[in-house]
Amino acid sequence: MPALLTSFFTALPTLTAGLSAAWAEYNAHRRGLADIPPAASTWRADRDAARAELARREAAVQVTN
Amino acid sequence: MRLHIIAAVLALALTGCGSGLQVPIDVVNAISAGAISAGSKINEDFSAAEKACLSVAPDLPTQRKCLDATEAKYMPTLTAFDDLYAALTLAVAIIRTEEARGKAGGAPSLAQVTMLVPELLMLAGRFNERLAALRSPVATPKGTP
Repeated sequence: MPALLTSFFTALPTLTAGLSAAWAEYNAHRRGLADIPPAASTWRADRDAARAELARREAAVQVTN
Repeated sequence: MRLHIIAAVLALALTGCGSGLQVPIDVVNAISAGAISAGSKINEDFSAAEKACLSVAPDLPTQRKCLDATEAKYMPTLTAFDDLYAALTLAVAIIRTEEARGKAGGAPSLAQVTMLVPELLMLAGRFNERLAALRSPVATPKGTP
């Protein structure tokens, strides 16, 4: 048992060095999350505006008639 | 030698924990890069087509028909884009929350974001299909002008 503990503590620097190297390599390859640009989803407003314009024109024709 | 193996196994486990968030991050990055500009462009095209209906069509019934046809043509792609965009923003919010949890010393919970990945891929696939259908020229029989 003491021999095992001695062996462990002797090799501890190797173990920590290996872990920190692996962690550094992982972080180097890791890609961050890109920000999502605001999307211009304007179709509802455009559709409503076009329909309103058509309704206005139709109303104007009815008034004329 | 034995300790080197232990170090390697621990390193693999560490990388495995990190990849839990990395996969959704990669998926969100890959989808958002192209889909958002394509979706914004479709919105612009739709707006231009609607305006053209009102300015080019000669009479009111034709203008109405033109608006109906334009909306029927664009609506599947536009709604698919809105669904995809909503899922992307939700995924980003969840990933940022889990990253913050990790920075605060907690363990990131991957359950929500893991469930969202197939949903994102499905919505992106649907948007791509509808975008391709919208952009593909309509096949017309021979002799049709």
